[in-house]
Amino acid sequence: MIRRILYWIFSSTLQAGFIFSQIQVTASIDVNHISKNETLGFKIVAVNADGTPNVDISPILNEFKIISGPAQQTNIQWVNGAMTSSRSLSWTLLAKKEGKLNIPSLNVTIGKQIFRTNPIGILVEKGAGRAQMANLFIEAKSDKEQAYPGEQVTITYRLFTRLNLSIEDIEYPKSVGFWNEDLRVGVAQTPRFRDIQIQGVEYKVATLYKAAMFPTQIGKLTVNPMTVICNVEKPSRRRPGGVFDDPFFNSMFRETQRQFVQSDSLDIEVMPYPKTPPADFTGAVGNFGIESWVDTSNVKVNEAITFHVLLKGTGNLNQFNLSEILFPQNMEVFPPTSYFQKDEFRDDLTGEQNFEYILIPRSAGNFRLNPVTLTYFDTGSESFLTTQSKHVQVIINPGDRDVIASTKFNREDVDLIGEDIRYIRTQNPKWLPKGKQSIPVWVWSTYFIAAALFIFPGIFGKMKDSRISTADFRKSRGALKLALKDLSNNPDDPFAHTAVVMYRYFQSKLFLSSDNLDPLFIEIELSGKISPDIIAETVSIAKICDAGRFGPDADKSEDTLQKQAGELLKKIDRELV
Amino acid sequence: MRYSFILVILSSLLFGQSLDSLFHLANRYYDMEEYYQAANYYEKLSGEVEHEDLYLNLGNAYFRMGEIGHAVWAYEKGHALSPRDGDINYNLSYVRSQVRDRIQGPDDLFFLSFYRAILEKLTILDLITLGGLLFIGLGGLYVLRLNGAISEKLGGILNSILLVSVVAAGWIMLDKYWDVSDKHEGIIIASAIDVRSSPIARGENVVFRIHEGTKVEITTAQPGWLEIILLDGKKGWVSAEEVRTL
Repeated sequence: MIRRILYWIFSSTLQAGFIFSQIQVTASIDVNHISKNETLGFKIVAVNADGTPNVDISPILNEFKIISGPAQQTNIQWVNGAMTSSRSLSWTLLAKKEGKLNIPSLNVTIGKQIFRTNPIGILVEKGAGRAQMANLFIEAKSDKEQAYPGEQVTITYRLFTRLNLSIEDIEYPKSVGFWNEDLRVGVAQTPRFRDIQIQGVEYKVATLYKAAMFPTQIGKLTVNPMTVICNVEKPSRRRPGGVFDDPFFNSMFRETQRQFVQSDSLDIEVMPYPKTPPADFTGAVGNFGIESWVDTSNVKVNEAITFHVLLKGTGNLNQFNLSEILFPQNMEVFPPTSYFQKDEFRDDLTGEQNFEYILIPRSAGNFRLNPVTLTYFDTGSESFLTTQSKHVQVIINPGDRDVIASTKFNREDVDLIGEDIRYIRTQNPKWLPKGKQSIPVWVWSTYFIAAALFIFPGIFGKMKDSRISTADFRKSRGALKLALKDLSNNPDDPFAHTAVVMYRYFQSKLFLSSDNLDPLFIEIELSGKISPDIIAETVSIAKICDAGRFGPDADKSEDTLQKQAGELLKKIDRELV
Repeated sequence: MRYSFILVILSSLLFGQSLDSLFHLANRYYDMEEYYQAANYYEKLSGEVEHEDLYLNLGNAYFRMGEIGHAVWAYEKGHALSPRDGDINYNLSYVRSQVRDRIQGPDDLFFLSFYRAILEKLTILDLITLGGLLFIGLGGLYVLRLNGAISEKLGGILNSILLVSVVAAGWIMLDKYWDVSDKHEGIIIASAIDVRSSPIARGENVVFRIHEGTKVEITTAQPGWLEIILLDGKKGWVSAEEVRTL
C-alpha cells in the first residue's frame, strides 16, 4: 500500500512538472572545426519531453555519413525542488566533403508535436583540425588582413573552453616587424569567462590579450602564436556509487592536468603606400589634428616661454616624431619633453601627445612662431594629408637694463649687458632710381681734369712761343718807322732823345733783350750784319750822342744830329733786311 | 605722437604717397612696433628706388619680425650699395651670427684675404673715383716736370708710383665689375630647406639641409629651381621660392 502511495506521489509530481514546463529541442555538435577524416558528435536534446523524440535524419545524409547512432539517453535533475528531464539522441558523423558544411534544420517529432532544430555550420578543413583541442583552444583574430605601414591592426586572442581550468602562464606573441601597443584587457591570468554558443556549441570564452599592432615594414608579416599554459580539471576517475561519489567530495579531490594551448599564427600583408610619401612625412598614419600655443605671449628678453604642441587623434601616436619645428633663430630652444595620454576605452589607439618646448628669446622684437605641420597618411582616403596649427605671435620686450653707475674711479671696460641691432635711419635719403645707378659728374670730371693736365700745358707752351715770336717780328718790322717818327719830334735834349731812339731801334730790330746798350755793344751786335762803314758811322753818332748828353761840346752838331741819325737808321734798315 | 602719425597718413593720402612720405610712414610704423606694416612700406619703396638707409630699415623691420633670411637679404643689399656703412655692417654681422648654418670657406693666403677685404670694402664708383684722382695726380706731376718745378729724380719716382697705382686701380675696378656682373647670389628665406641632388622633389634625393639666412651662390636656374653652391663647395638644387636673389 505504502509503495502505491509513494508511486502515486512521484508520478503526479513528475506529471505536474511536465505540465508546467515547456518542451525545448536543441541540436548541437561537439566541435565545429574539423579535418575531413575526423568525426564529430551530433546531439539533439529534448528538454521536458514526455516521450522519446523521433528524428528525421535524412536531410544531413547528403553531406555526412552516420558512423554510429542514434544513442538514446535520459536525464532527470532536481534543482531547488524543480525537476528537469531531458531526452537526447546522439550520432557520430563523418563529413563527406571539405568546406563549410551545414547541418540543416531537422524535424523532431515528440508525441504529436513537431519541433525544428536549429541549423548548425561546420568547417571541414583538409588538414589537421582542432578535433583534439575542441574543448580548449585559443582564437587569434585580426580585424584586417592587409594594412599599410603604420596602420593599426587589432589582434584579439580569445580562449574558448568547455572545461574548468585555471591559467598558469601566458606567453605573449612577439612578432618581428610590428610595433605593439597593448590595449585594454583584464588580468589575463584570471580571465573573466562568459558563456557563448558558437554555431550550436556551448563554450566559455575569455579575452586574454588584445593588441594594436602597427607594421613597420612592407611585405608579408607573421604574427607569432600565443601560448597559454592551463591547468585543466579532469573528470573524476572514481567509480560511481562509491562513498565519496558526492559533489562535496568532488570539489575536494579535483584532479587537474597541465596543458599547453597555442593559437594559430596570423599573416598580415603590409602594402606599400599608394603614393610616394612627401619629404616631410615622418611616419604618421591615422587621422590627426594639431594645435600649438604659448603659455605667455608677452615676455622680456631672456625670459622663458613654454611652447606647447598638442597632437591628438587616432593612429600610430607615440611612434613618430614631429617634423622639425623651426623657431626664430634668436630664440634658444631646449629639447622638448613629451607625454602621451591614451584613451583607454577605445580599441583604435587614440589619445593626445603633448610636446613642450622651452624657448629663451635672446633679442627683442615682435615674432611669429611658425605653424607646426604634420603630414600623415589617411587610411580612409588612402592619401597623404597635412594638418597644421596656427601661427603664434610672441612679443619680446627689451630686458630690464639697470643704470650703470660706476662708483669706482679707475677706468674699466664698459659692461655689455645685451646686444641688439642698431636703430633705423629717419632722415629722408637721396633716392637713387632702382637699377639705374649713374656715375656722378664730379667723378667723370676727375678724368677730364687729368686729361686737361696732360693736353693743355703743351698747347699753352706752343701758343705762347708763337705769340711772342709774332710780336717781336712785328715790332722789328715797325722799328724804323717808329724811330723816324720819334726823331721828327723836338725834344729838350736832342742827344739823349736820339740815343734813346737809336738804342730802341736796335733793341727791336735785333731782338735784343738787354736795355743797357752802349756804342761798344752796338758795334759788336752789328758786326758782320752790316758794312763796317755804317758800323763806324753808327758808333760815331752813338758816341756824339753820349758826348752831347754828358760832354761840354755837344751843341756843335745838335741841329744835324737827328737828321744824321734818321739817315743812318734808314741805311742800317736796308742793310739788315 | 598719435596726432603726428595721423597727420603723416593724411598728408600721404592728400598729396599722393611720395617717396619721402612713404619712408616717413614706414618709420612711424616701425616706431609703433608695427613691423609688418613697416616692412610692407619699405618693400614698396624698394621696388621703385634704392638707398642704403632704406635697406637698413627694411632689414631691421624683418629682424624684429624674426624673418632672419629677409633681414640678411636687406642688409646685404644695403652693404652692396654702401660697403663701409658702419650700422649696416654691424647689423649684418649681428644677424649673421644668428644664422644656424656655419659654413667655413677654404683658408686663403694672407694676400688673397687682404685683396678680397679691399674688394669688399669698395664699390665700383669708389674705384672709378680713385682712378680719376690718380690720373689727376699723374697729370699734375707731368705739369710740374714740364715746368721743371720738381727734380727729375723725384719726378721719376713719383711717376712710377702713380703709374703702378693707376694700373692696380684699373685691375681692381675690372675685377669688381666682373664680380658684380657675373656672380649671382641669394639668401635662403625659408626656415630650412632640403637641398637636392636634382631639380625633382623626391624624398630620397635630399643631399643636405640649410637654414634661413644662409648666403648661397646661384650657378644655374631652371623654372622653379635654382642650383646653388655653398662657400665650402657643397652643391645642389633648391626650390626657387625659397631663395631671394640679391
